[in-house]
Amino acid sequence: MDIDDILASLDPHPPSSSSPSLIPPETRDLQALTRHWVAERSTPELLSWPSDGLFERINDKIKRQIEKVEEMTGDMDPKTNFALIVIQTELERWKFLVRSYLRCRVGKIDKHLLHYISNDALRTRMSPIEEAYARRHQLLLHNHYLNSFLGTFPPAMQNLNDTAGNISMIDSPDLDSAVFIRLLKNAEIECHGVDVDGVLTGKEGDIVILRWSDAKGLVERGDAELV
Amino acid sequence: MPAIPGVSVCQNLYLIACRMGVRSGNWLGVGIWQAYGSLLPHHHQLSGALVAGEDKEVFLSIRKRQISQLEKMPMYGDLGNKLVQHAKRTQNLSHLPPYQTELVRAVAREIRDLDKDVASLLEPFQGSFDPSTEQATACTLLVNHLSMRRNKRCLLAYHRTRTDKLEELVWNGADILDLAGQTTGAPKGGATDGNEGSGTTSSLSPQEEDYFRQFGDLLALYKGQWTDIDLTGSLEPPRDLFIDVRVLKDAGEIQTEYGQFYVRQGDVERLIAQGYLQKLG
Amino acid sequence: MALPLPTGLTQNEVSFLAEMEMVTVVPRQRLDSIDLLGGKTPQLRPPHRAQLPLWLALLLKKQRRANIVPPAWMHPASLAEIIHRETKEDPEAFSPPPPPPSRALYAQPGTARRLNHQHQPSFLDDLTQTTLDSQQQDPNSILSPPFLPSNVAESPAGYLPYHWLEIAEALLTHAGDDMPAPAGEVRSLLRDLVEVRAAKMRSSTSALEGFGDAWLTLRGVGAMELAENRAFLAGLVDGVRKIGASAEATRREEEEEARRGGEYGGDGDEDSDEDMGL
Repeated sequence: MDIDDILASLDPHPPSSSSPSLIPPETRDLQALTRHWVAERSTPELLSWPSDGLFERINDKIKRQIEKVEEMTGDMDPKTNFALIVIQTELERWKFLVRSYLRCRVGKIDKHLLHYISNDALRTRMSPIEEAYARRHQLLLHNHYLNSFLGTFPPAMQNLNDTAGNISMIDSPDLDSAVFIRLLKNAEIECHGVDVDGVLTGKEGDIVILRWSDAKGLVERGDAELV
Repeated sequence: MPAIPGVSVCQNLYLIACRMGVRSGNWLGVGIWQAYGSLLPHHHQLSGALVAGEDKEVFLSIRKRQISQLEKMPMYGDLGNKLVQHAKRTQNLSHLPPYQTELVRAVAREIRDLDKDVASLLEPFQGSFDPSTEQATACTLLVNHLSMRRNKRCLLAYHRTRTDKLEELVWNGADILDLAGQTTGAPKGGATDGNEGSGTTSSLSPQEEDYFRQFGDLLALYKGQWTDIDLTGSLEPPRDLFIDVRVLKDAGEIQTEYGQFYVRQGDVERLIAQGYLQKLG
Repeated sequence: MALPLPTGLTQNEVSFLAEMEMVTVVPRQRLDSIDLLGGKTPQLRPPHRAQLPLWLALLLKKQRRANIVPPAWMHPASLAEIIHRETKEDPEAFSPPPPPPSRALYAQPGTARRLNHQHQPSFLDDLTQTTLDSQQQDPNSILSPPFLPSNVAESPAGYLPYHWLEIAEALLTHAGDDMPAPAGEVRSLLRDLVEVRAAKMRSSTSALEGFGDAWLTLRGVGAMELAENRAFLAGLVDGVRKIGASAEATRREEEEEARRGGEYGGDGDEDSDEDMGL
């Protein structure tokens, strides 16, 4: 037993497990990944791709971990063997999170392709890869429509993004859909309802069901999170 | 009538309506709304102040004529409705029903006919059409525009429903040959259907077959950016990757990557099924 | 379809999330630190307790490499107290969630502070490359389930953590012999709790229907309870909204008109033609 072990056994609350300023960066990445996954799975519209390189970093880490598993697989020492089981199990958990997150996003993009690619602010929510995918997908669809029926139309009717009469032909997600959030601090929430609008006085830790359009600002400010 | 989101009144129609001397066009909304049932979305600019005063006489006469025009509309919408019904049915099916080639052609033809009607209606005016003096023509034009846009929506909805289905099949790893064989619901791959490659019975249009391949290529490209994640893998959270087993009878040496006391479930599923191993707690 | 799942976490996904909660284990064998993607695991040296994520604790337990110390809230006395609170003290509401964690700083004993509201600049800020944003509230610095220590041995008794049902289910199934009382006794208390709270969930939704409101607060609700009722609750809120959509649009227009009427003296219909962007 070394000195660290003795110290750790004296302190019932090892600092590394509970103090936010001492959380190792690897654990922070896991927390961020988990938050992004839960949030993306819980909202009617596409959320912003994290600009801090989180997923690029995670992808690299997963790649390295897979290489490590391959190296360790040849080693039949029972100790290594159990570590390998743990590493593999964790690896599958991370891969699932990233996969589910990415496919959730592609699902949202596919559903409202034109909505996301024809507006600058919305376009920047996608990663560069997602944007390239979305543009190509829209092009394939447009060509398919042209070849199937659109090509025989009068020229003025061949486009897909006409917004004549101030009513857009571009389908968009229903931003008033209900979401579930947890308040991370006390907050006054302006809520829209059918019969009345009102201000909800929420306490830290409250779980609230409300329209995404009413929750969005809170979530973006970090005053609430999706659950 | 099935609801189709976003069937809309085009800008030209607003122009016509406004020139007809009625300020905020509520009557237009009401008339069209009645004709289309739930098809038109609510639009705030249509429901402004009601016309009053001297506009009222104009309003009433226009509205009367408009309604008589609108009554003719179902004649145009029928084929489009059929397409939408096909699309609705397709959504609930696990397979892709045959492509409605004839129906698609007919609906597209209707659009071209309507467009010709519009052109011939406008022709005598040589570009100087004034809706306020030609109210009957204005109403016919309005109806034609609406019908064209509606047909376009129906065609888009029908094709998009089918491409959604095709994309789902690509995600699930289906092969273009699988699709060619599923038309009649007959079991494929048996010794009996050796000539399934004839192509005449495919439920996909040739354009859809192209789309299927192209989307497959696009998806492969996208997946290639995340090779280590395996994007087509399971969307169920991983559980019990490794299991404890008890050996019930000797099956010789079981070779797994991780030794024998604790094994990957996938490695030994067959042995469990065959009764060599028993899964523990 | 790229994701054939409804919006919002499924029950299986919620269970998966709960497996990230930290629990306390007593190792029965030595195990060196393992370099995982989420950080290094602590060295395990019997009989010293350690904290591990639930998924890893369960893996160790199944191999009889460790025992799991159930969180204090799962003790029969604690569960009985919660049931008393839910039935007698406040029969309307869910019992309150655990208080936000606070603890003394490791280096400065006796200076207890709220965990989520102290942000001490550290060398980690540079590593996570959030230097520009670190002045503002960084959402990642606020911890919430499953990343709060709500299910470790020292977590307070008498409060149900957000993932209570999933944690209890996992521990009773895989670590029944580690329970502080016969597993049957704990299970039966939990069953009572599930029933009491299911009734509350039903009555809270009837309140929603009654008022036609489009929002609802469920303080103290658990993750699995939410997942089980998510489709129903969201369907209800969305349904109320869609049925009332035209009534709501009309109400808003009238309110808008009344506001404008107040500002311009009622003469506000001039520009409707020009506004259509022709």
